[in-house]
Amino acid sequence: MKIKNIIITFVSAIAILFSTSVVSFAKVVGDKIILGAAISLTGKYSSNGVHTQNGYNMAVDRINEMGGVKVGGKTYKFDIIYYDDESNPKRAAQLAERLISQDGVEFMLGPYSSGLTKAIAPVTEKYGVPMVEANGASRSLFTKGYKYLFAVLAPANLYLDVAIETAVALNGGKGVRIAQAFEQDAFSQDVRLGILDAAERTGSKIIIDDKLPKELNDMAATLAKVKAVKPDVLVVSGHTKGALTAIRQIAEMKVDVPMLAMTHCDAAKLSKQHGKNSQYALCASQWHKTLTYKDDFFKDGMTYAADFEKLFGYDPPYQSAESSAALLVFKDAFERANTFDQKKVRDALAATNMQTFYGNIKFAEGGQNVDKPMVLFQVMCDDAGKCENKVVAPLKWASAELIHPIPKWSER
Amino acid sequence: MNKNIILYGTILIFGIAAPFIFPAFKVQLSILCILIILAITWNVQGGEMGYNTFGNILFYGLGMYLCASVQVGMFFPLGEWTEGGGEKTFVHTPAQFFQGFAVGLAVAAVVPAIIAGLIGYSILGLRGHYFAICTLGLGVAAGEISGGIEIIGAGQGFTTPPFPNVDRLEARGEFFYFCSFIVLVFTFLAVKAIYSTRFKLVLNAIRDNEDKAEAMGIQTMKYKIIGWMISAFFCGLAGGIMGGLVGYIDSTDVAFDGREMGVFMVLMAILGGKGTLWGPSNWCNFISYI
Repeated sequence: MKIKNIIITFVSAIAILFSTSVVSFAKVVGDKIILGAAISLTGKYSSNGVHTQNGYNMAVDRINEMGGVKVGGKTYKFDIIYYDDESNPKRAAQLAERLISQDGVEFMLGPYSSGLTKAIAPVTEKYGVPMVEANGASRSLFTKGYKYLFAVLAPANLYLDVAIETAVALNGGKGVRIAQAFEQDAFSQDVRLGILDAAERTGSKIIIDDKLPKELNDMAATLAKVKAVKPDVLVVSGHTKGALTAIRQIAEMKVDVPMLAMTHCDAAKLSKQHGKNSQYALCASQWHKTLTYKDDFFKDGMTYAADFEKLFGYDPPYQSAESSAALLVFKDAFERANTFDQKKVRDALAATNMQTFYGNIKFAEGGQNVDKPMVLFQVMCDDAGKCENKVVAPLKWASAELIHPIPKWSER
Repeated sequence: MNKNIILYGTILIFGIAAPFIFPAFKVQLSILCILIILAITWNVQGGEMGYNTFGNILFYGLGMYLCASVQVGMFFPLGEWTEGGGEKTFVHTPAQFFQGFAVGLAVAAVVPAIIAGLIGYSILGLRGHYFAICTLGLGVAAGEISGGIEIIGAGQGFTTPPFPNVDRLEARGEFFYFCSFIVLVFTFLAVKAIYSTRFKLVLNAIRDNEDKAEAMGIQTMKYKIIGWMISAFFCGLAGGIMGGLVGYIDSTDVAFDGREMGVFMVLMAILGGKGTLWGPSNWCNFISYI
């Protein structure tokens, strides 16, 4: 019996391995440049994963329609192989390995979230596969000396420090009292570091500093404290779920704070899901459709937003815009390198200096984009209850004036 | 007996040749080895002793963090390595990398075993469902706690030292594959040896009727603790290797990953057959294929 078992195991293991070991070499086939991406289609980042994928797909279609990529006198079209990483770093690292060593992908696009990018970067680095990523903002990604990692977005510590500075300015230059709550993940913790820096710079005091679990569904304890100590600014960050939870519970508990600063409001479709309850929330964003950057493919932010809505039925959050921008960067780099040699493409990427509808893109030594500031927008609603995100800072792009302080719940 | 030797020989040769026959599958093969280690050792106290535990993921995660911490901490200040906004870049030389990894693995095996002893002393008095539920909390709690400890990266996660540049692209995959394969062989032999002694009979006696075993003069508590320590020892080793293989440790998603690895090791042992040596291994093959 035992022997039989062993033999069955052995034979089945071999059979299984053989059946899956058909290695296909994709990279550049015929007239196609095949990019690989692990995306969170399930799990806690699934909604943002879809935003990312939509952004990638839209850019691929647009670039292909408009003539594709010209390398060495030949025209190529983009194609992407997607795998679902289940929002799990371990899985993401495995999939990166699979894309590169089994599918033969030579160029990668980033996953969603800093944590997953952190898991994939060592793999792409090992194989020397250039990766342009659009959704890993954690500062620690750019201090590891990675040579093949390029991020089109500004690092996470810059997300909300503008909000603190604005609050201090409105307070007559005096420091403010800050309450903050961040999810325990790479991105949100980096936003927290940015706030700590800003607080020190402006002489502000942090009176509540909470860490919230992943899969953020409840932050009532933090809000109860906020109600008791009445801070000047409440900062919350925890991806889409964090934004939704914060707004839901702030409205339920009628928490009054003069300024509420958050991330991921647009990805969470706050103004749609929570309507007037989300009014006055101040949000950090990499991009907003009203910014006046331009390129040849998507024209400008407004056109991009309109086209995106036509395709996918919702207003594009910045996660989609930056993902589309990643493809534009790749196209630009391929054409300048004029070859598919990974080293040369990498060098071309490093020398990128371009404007897209999403913003200027120029990479620093560590791979982060240094040529694009963050913007802050505020959710503003009219009397009919229709809500819109309007840019309030920096002043150069502002389309509305910041409403401060937020009116009390009893007066709304 | 002769048949067995041929069989083991074939498997051994296949194990050694596998990464060269299927070069693209090294990572999957390594993970397969790790899964088998976890399932075989879960079986020691879950199958033979009848104490179902969900807590072994604790030792796996501990091993992972310990191995990486030691590997970094031996040569560089750990606090600066994991600091969120860390502006410095540290690079291990090949010698430092391998030395650190070896010492790290030793620590990753011994410390969880000791901790299993301590925890076991306090909770192995619980029986049946009560024990299972109690251990269920261990992994979850460890995940949340480690997510708050700054020196191991807290919520930021811990990037393990990158594999040193040795001019061969395949070196990293082969290194980790052979690490996990050697540990697997070692685990298998160790567990097999243990099962051929009186120790296994004691464990079975505990499973079948603990009170009767005690009445016969067996110090059941002692054996239960030792049984769990053995599991912890190998789980820690497996975790240490897995940490290096994945390259990035996240508190709840990679290290104390009770939802995936924690359940898998139980599932594989149960589906493959509790209380057998080959059952868990068979199901590992199957599950890792899926």
